[in-house]
Amino acid sequence: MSKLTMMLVLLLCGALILLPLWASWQGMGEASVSKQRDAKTGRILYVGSRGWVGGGPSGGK
Amino acid sequence: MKAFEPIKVHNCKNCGHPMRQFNPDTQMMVCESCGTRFGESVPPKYKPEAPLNPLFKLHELFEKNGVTWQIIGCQSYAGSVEEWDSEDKAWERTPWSFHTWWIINEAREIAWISQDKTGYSWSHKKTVTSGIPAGDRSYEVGSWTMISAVGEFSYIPREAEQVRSYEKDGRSLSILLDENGGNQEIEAFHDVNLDLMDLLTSFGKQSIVDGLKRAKVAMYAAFASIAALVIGFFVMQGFEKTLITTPTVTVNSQSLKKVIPLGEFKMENKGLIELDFLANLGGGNGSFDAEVVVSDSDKTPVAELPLSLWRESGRDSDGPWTESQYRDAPRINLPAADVYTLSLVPDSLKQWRSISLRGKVTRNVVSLLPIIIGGVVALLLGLFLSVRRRKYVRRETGVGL
Repeated sequence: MSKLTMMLVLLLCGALILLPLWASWQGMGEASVSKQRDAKTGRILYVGSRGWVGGGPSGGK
Repeated sequence: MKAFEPIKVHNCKNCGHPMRQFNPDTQMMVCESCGTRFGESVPPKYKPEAPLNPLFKLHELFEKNGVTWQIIGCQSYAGSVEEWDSEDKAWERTPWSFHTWWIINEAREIAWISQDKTGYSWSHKKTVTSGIPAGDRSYEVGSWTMISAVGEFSYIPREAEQVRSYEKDGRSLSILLDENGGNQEIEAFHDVNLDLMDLLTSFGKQSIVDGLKRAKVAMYAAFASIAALVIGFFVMQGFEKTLITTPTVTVNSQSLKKVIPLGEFKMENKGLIELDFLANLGGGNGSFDAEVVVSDSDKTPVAELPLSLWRESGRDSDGPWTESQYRDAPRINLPAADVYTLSLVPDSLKQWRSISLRGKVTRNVVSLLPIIIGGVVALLLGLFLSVRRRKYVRRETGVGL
């Protein structure tokens, strides 16, 4: 591996640490407020994922 | 490094190739050009050839611990290794092969380097001090047939000579068999593994060693990135701040569709909050669904978050089972600094008469998804660099799994 390649990989590793931490701090991947409302109910639409909360009741197995 | 002076040069009787003799005790020479043995004029049916190797080549020089060595011959063996499998209570046979490189130094001392697919080892000749451990299950027993011999040797190797070996903890007993399968010669060796980086340095391949070291640093950096992400995630969690803790509220069928105020909290900046609700569920199965409404200072709802709590149980072929969700923690990115009002609107309550729940609002919460994605990418990068490095080592040394 050349010195240049190693430097690029180390830079990439730095980016791989800083970018996810920054994105995590910014709450990326989480739900965000939406201006959109459901046409029928008028309720604010929930945007984004619920994260790792599992499923819901199965309604009987 | 300067090549050694041969003590004699013999011209091959078949092809005329000058066979240089470096070892004064040599008894047999095999022409590296046509495979004809010294003293013979007819080449063998199958031409013996030294294996292709990026480092070891006939007459190549290398330096080890300040001593210059020259490669003068190579024997290749194929066969199998038997190892006692204590679980199956049987000898387990594995096809294997190896090469023995004959080397000589300036003082005309002979040494051997053994090569198999796992690496190289320096074979130190030792005095035979024990009997043949036939039947001893602690040894690996090898049965070998010589398939090729090129260069010069201090004994006369027979065509397809048979060798049996007993090896344990790097010490081996090598038995050369005669035509009738009887023991002809017994030798003991102590094999010491050679570090591949040291070996590359010995052959003057310092630039390759430097490249491999850099690849190792890059690989470790990629794997260390995963640890840095995990540590960073936990450190950031230390900055979480509870904004409000809601009073415990009890919800029953009369509370449905009614707004239950839970309190106010102030956000100094936009950001992610977590609304963590913990419930004391009623007895038995049931479910509760509600909306958590976050309104701004103008009393305009800016977020309606579904909250779902439930318990169910049953029986299947594995016996009774119960699953429940007594805690729900929806998260939302609030768009601006403001004083927000939190309220709960129960939607449905099934099978339970009532449930009580309390919650808290936390800010500076960190999301896990970017950490997972970053960690996976770092892991893939580390594995990619590891595989590339191994391939490079294999290409430059001829060994490595």
